[in-house]
Amino acid sequence: MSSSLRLDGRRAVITGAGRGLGREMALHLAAAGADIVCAARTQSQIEAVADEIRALGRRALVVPTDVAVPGQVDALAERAAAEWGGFEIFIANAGGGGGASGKDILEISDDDWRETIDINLSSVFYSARAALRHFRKRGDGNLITVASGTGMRGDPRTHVYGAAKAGVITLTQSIAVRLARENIRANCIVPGFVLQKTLHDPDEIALARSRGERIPAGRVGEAWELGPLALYLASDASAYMTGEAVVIDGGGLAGGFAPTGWDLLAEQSP
Amino acid sequence: MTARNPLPPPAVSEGRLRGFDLEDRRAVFYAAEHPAAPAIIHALREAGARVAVASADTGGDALFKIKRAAAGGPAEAVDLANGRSVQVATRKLVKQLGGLDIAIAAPVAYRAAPLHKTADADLDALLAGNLAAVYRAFRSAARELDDGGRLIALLAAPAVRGLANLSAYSAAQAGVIGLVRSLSQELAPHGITVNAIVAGWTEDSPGRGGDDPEANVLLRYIPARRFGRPEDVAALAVYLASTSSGYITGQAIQVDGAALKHL
Repeated sequence: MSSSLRLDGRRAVITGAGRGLGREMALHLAAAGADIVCAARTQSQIEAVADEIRALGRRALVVPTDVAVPGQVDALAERAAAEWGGFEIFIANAGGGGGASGKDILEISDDDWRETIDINLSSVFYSARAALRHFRKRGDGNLITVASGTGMRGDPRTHVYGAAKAGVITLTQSIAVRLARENIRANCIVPGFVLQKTLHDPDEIALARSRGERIPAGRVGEAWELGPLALYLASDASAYMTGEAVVIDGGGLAGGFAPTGWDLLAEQSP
Repeated sequence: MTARNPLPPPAVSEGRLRGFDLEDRRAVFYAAEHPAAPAIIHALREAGARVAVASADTGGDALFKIKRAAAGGPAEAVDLANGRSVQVATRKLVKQLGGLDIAIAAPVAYRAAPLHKTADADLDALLAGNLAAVYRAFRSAARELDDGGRLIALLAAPAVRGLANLSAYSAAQAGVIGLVRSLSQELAPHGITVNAIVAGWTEDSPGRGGDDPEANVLLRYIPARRFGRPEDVAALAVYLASTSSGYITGQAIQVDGAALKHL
C-alpha cells in the first residue's frame, strides 16, 4: 500500500498554497514525491512555501493567482501545462470569509453576497473548469476541493459562506459522477474548525482552547492534519473513491443534537 | 486519562510515508471471513502494525482459516453473535499483543429476502451478525484501548441506501452508523476516534452480475465502471488507524466509485 501513496513524478497545482491548510497539503504532497505549482494572491507567501518544497528535493513553480478571477485561473493552469508539460492533481483550496461574515442576513449587501460566492464557490468552478479542460486532454486527473462543515449545517454567522461551501460539495459530486468513466476523480475535504497557523499570542491560544472545548475531540484541528488526508486523496491509494466529501472536524457533525459533552446520565439543573 | 492536547505531527520513519505509519500500533481484526480481510491485514502489517485476527463464528474449520489469515500472528475463533465469546477472545488476543490501539470490525452476516419471507430467526441472525457483532466487538475492544485508540467498522452500501429484498440486512448495517456516531462522542474525551468505511459494490458483492458493462446494467450505474476491490478500502483503513487521522471521528466514509453519489 505504501507504494500506492507515492506521488513520484506527479505534478500538483494547489491554490491558497501560501499558508495554512494549503501550505500543509503542498508540503505533504511534496514529501511523497510530487512537484508543486503554488498559487495564491500573495507572492511572498508562495515564494516561501516554494523554498520549503525545493528543500525537500522537489520542483516548485510560483504563480500569483486570484482564484475569483476566471482569466487568472485559466492562466494558472496554462502556465503549469506550458512550463511542466501538464499536471495530474489540482487542489482547489483557496477561499475565505468575505464581507458577509458575521452579519445579520438583512445586513448582507448584494456586494457582500457576490464577493463571498465569488471567493468560495465561483473560484472552485473556475478552478475545476480549468483543471478538467486539461485532465480531459490527458485522459485522467484528480481534482480535490475544499469545503467546510458550515456547508452541511446551518450557522447563524456564515449564511453566504455556508451556502457557497454547500455548493462546492455538490459541484464536486456532479463532476465525479460525470467524469469517473473518463478516469477523472473529484473529492472534497470538509474541515471543521482548523487553526491556520501555529499560535504564539496567549489571547489567541486561550481563544483556540475555549473554541476546542466546544468540539467533541476537545481541541481544534491543526493545519498539518489536512496533509495526510490530502495525500490519501491525491494518490492511487484512494483510486476507487470519488465524489466523496470527507469530513475532518473532531466529531462535530457526528454529534449535534445537544451541546458538546452533554451528559444524559448527570442530574440536570431544572 | 483524557487526551485533550493536540497530538504532535506524526514522525517520519525510514521507508514509510509521513502520516501513514503504524509502527508499534497493535490491532485486532474481526472477522477473518470478510472478503477484504486479507488485504486490510496485509496493509496494516505493511504499515508496521502487529495484527491479531478473530473469526465471525466458531463452527467447522474457523480456527484453521483464521490461523491462515493471521499468518503467524495471534488468532482466536470467536462467535461474534455471543458477547462473552467476543470478550474472552479479545482479552486473549490483546494479552498476546501487549495492548490495543486499533480494532476493526467487519461483519459478514448476509441474507437477501423479501419482507414476508424474513422470519424472526433470519432477522435476529442479521441483527446479531451485523449490528450486535460490531457493538460487541467495539465494547470489548474499547475496554482494552489505550488513549488515542481507533475503532473502525467496515460496512457495505446498504448501510446508507435502500434496496429491495435487503430490508433486514440494510437495517442491521445502517444501525452500525448510529453506533459509530454516538460512540464517537462518548469516546472523544479519550482521544479515541470511531469511524466507518462504507464500501460500494465490490467484486465480492452477492448478486452483482458480470464484469461486462455492455451486459450488466448495474456496472453501468457505477460511474467508475468497475466493482471495488479489497485493496480499495485497505489504504483508508490504514489512514483511519493512524495517529494522523485524530481529527476525523463519527464519520461513515464511502469508497464506492461514486455509485452512491448520483441521483
